[in-house]
Amino acid sequence: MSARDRILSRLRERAAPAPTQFTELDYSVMHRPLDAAVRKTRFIESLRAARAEVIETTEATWTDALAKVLDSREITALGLGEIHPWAQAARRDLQDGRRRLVSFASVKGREAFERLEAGLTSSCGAIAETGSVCLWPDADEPRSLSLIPPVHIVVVDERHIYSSFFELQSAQSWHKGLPSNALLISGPSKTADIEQTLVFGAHGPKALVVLLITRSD
Amino acid sequence: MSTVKLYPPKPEKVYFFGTCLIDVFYPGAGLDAVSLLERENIEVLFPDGQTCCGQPAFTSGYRAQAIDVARHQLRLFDEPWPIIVPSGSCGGMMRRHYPELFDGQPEEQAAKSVAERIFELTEFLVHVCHVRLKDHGPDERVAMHTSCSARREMGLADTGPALLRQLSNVTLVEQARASECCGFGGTFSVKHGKVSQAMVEDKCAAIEAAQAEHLVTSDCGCLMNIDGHFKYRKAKVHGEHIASYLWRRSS
Amino acid sequence: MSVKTFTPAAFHHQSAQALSNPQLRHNFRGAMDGLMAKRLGSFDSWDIEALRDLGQGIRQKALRHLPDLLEQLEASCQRNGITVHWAESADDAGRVITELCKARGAQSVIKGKSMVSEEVELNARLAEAGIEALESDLGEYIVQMADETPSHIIMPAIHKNTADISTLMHQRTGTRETNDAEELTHAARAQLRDRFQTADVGISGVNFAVAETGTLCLVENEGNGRLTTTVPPVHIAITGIEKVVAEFKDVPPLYALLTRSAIGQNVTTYFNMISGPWRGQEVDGPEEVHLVLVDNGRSRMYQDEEYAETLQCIRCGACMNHCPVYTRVGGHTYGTTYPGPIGKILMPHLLGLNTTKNLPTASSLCGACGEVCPVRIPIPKLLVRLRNEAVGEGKGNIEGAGSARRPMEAMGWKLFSWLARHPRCWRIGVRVVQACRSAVPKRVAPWTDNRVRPTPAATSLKQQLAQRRRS
Repeated sequence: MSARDRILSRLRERAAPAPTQFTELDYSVMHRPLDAAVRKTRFIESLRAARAEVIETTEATWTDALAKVLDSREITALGLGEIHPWAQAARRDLQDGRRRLVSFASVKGREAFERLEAGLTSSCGAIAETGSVCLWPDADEPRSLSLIPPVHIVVVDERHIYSSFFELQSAQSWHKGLPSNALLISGPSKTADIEQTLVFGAHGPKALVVLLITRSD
Repeated sequence: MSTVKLYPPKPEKVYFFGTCLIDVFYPGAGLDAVSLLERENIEVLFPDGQTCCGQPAFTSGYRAQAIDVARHQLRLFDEPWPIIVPSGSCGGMMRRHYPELFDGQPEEQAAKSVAERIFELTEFLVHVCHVRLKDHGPDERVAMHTSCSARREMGLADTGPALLRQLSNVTLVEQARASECCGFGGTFSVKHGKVSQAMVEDKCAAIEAAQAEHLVTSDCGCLMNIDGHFKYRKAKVHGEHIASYLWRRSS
Repeated sequence: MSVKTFTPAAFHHQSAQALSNPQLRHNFRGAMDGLMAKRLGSFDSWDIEALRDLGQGIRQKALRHLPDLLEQLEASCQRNGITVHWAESADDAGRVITELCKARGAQSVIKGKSMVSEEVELNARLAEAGIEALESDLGEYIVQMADETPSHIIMPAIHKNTADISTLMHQRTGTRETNDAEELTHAARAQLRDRFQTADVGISGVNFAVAETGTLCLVENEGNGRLTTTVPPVHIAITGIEKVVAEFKDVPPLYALLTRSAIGQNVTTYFNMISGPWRGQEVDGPEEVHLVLVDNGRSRMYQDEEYAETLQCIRCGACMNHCPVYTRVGGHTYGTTYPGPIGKILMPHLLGLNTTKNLPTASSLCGACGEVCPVRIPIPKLLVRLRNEAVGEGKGNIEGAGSARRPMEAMGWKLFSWLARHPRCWRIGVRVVQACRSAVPKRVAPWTDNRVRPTPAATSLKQQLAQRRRS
C-alpha cells in the first residue's frame, strides 16, 4: 500500500456519516450588501487606510491621471500589457517619449527585477469592505507585473466594486474554476515582524496606486 | 453556541451548596451568603451530605473519581428548588460538566436536572432576587475579580460588578486586563507554581495600580490566591468574598 | 542556550528561565496586549458569534468528509496540473521534497512561511541533502539567521526587539546598526531580492486547500509568498491533510476569521490563490507545482472524534495571544513547533505524551483560548481529556498514555473520591484538618513562595450553620 492509501484507510476507519452529502450551513452572516455609493467610498477609505493611493478619474481622462502619477513618481520605465483595452489606451495616450513602455512578456529575469519602475494592470473586480483589488493575471498581464516593480498601478472600474469577497466570488462563479493564479491585493506590501512596527514596502511593491474609473450614470 | 438562560421567579426555598473551600477555609463567606438569601425571604436548605463538587479530581484528570463524587452530590437535591453555589468554578462544574459526565448514563436526567437548577450566588441575587442593596459602609475603592469559570463557563462577567454598583459609597475601579486569570487554576498553582506565581503577581499589581483599597471576588480559589499574595507582601489591599462584602455593607 | 535545545519535557525549567527574563516578558506582554485589542476592534461590524458558528461548521464539514475531500482535492489539483504527493511522516515529507528538489538539480530553495515545514524540520533535511533553504518571510528570516525556531506561529520573531534584530543583522549580514525597523526591513528586502531570482525551487505553506476547485490559498502581507510561488521554476506547497475545505464559498468566511483573529486586520495585503503552474500562453509562474499532503499523526488523531476537533484549527494564533501562560513564558518554552494552547492539545498527538505530559497541565483552564478560537475548538475540554489520558485513566489510544501517572497522586484522588462519597468520614476529615490548623507548616512550596498559606477556620460552615440554627 502507498502512503496515500494508508492515510486514506486510516481516515476511513472512523465511521463516517452519509458521504457526499454536505450539511447545509448558514452563510447569511456573509451577506453584507452595501449601496453602490457606499461601496465606492468604503473601497476608497479602506485602501487609503492601508496606505494605497487612490485617484478618482474617468474613462475619458484616466490616462492623464496615469501620466501625472508617472511624472510625480519620476517613473521612466512602465511595464504594461499589449492587448488589454486599458493597456492599449495607455500606450496610445502616453506616446510622448518621456518614458519607456515595456511589455512585461518581453522582459525576463534580471531586467524584470531591476529595470522596471512600475507595472500597470487591469483588475477583474474589487471589494468595498476590505479595499481589495482582484487580479486574474494572464499572458498579457502576467503575475510579475503586479509583483516585481516597486510601484503597482491598477485600473479599477467603479462598476465592478462588490460589497464583499463572498459576493465577488459568488457573482463571478469562482467555484466553476479559477485561473492559474488569482489575487486579492489590498495595499502596498507590508510587515510588522520587527517588534510589531508596521513598515510598508516589504518584498512586494512598495506602493499601490489605484486609478478608479468613476461613472456618472 | 451559548444559550440564553431563562430565569425563574423568586422561589420560597433554595438549596445551598457551600463548596469545600468555603466549608473549611471561608465559612464566614458561606454564612453571609445564606444571610443575603434569607433577607430576600427565602428559606435556605443546606443538605447535610454535601462534600465537594468533584472539580479538583476532574481537572486533574481523574474523571472516574470525579464522576463518583458528582454522583453522590446528585442525590442531595430531590426537591425542585434552585441550588445556589457561592462559587463560579463549582457552579460551572455542576452546570456545565455534570451533564457531560453523565451523558448516556443512568444518572443523565438527574445530572441535567441539577445542572438546570444551579445558580451562582451573584447571578441568583441579580437575576432571580432582583436585590436592591442599601449601602451603610464608608467610601471605598473596590476591585472585583470575576473568576474565569464564572466569566467563561457560566457567562457571568457582569453580575458581581452589578451588585457592587448598587453600593452607593463604593467606587468600582477599572483594572488593566480584568478578564485575565489570576493564576489559581487548582492543581495548576502547584504543578506550574512559577507560572502561577507570575500570574498572581501581575493580577495584584493591576489591582494596586487601579488604586483599589479592597478586592472582592466570587470564588474562594481566586481569593486564596490573590489575597494570599497581598498578605504575603503585607500589601494595603485586603481581599474578601463578595458575599461577605455585600452583607457587611448592607446589613 | 540555543533555542533548538528547548524540549517539551523541560517545560518547567524553561518556563522558570523565561519568567526571569524581563526583556522577554516585556516583549511578549506588549505584543499580546496589542494583538488582543486589535482583534476585538476588527470584529466591530460583524456578528462575531454567527461568524464563528459558520467557521466551525465549515471546518467540521471538511473534517467529516475528510477522506473524500482529500481524494477530490487530489483530482482537482491534478486536473489543474498540480502534482499531489502524500507523506505519512516527517521523514516521508522530507524525502518527497528532497527528491523533487534533486530531480530538478536544485541547490537553493527559497521559502515562504510554513509551520508544517517547521514541524517536519524541512530545512535541516534539505541541508543534509546539500540543498540550502532560505526563509523569506521577514520574521522567519530573522529567526533562521539567529539559528532559532519561531516563538509564535504568526509572528516568528516576536521574542526579539528591534535592537536584538539590528545586532543580529549587523553580525550576520553587515547591515548598518539602527533602531529603525523600516531601515532593517528595507535592508532585508534588498538582501533577499536576488535570492528569489536565483532560487531553483520555492517552497510555501497553504492556508486553505479547496477540494472543489483545486486551489491553494496563501495569506500574507509581505509579498514574499507571492515571489516564492511565482519566480522560481518549481513551487512546492506543503501542508497538513486537515487544511482542506470543501467548496470555494467556504474560503471567504475562514479568511475573514483568520486575519482578524490572528492580527486584528480586516484583510491581509495579499490573498494568493494558486490553481496550477503557468498555463497556455502565460509567460511567468512556475513550470511545476507540487502539493505535499502531510499526515504525521493527524490521521490517528482523526480516528477519535473528540481529539479530531483539534484538526479544525486554521492556525491563527489567537489562543496564544490570549493565553495568560503563553504571554508570560513565550513560545520557545513549550519546546514544540506549535506552542500555546493549540500546541498543548496538538503536540501530544504528534509526539506522544511521554515527552509532552507537562503541556496539558500548563494551563489554569481559564478558558480564554476557547473563548476566542474562531472555529470553536473546545481547547479547555481537550486539555482535561489529555490530563485524563496522561494519568492513565483515559479511554483513548494516545501514545504515552499513563506516563504522567504518579501512584501517590492516584491514591490521593481515590481517597478524596471515597471521602467525598462518605460524608461522615469527610466530616471527620474536616475536623482533623481543623484540629491541625496550627500545625500547617508556614512554608508549603510552591504555594508559599509568594503567598501566605491558607489556614483552615476553627469551625466549618456546616458547624456554624448548625450553631446558628440552634440559637
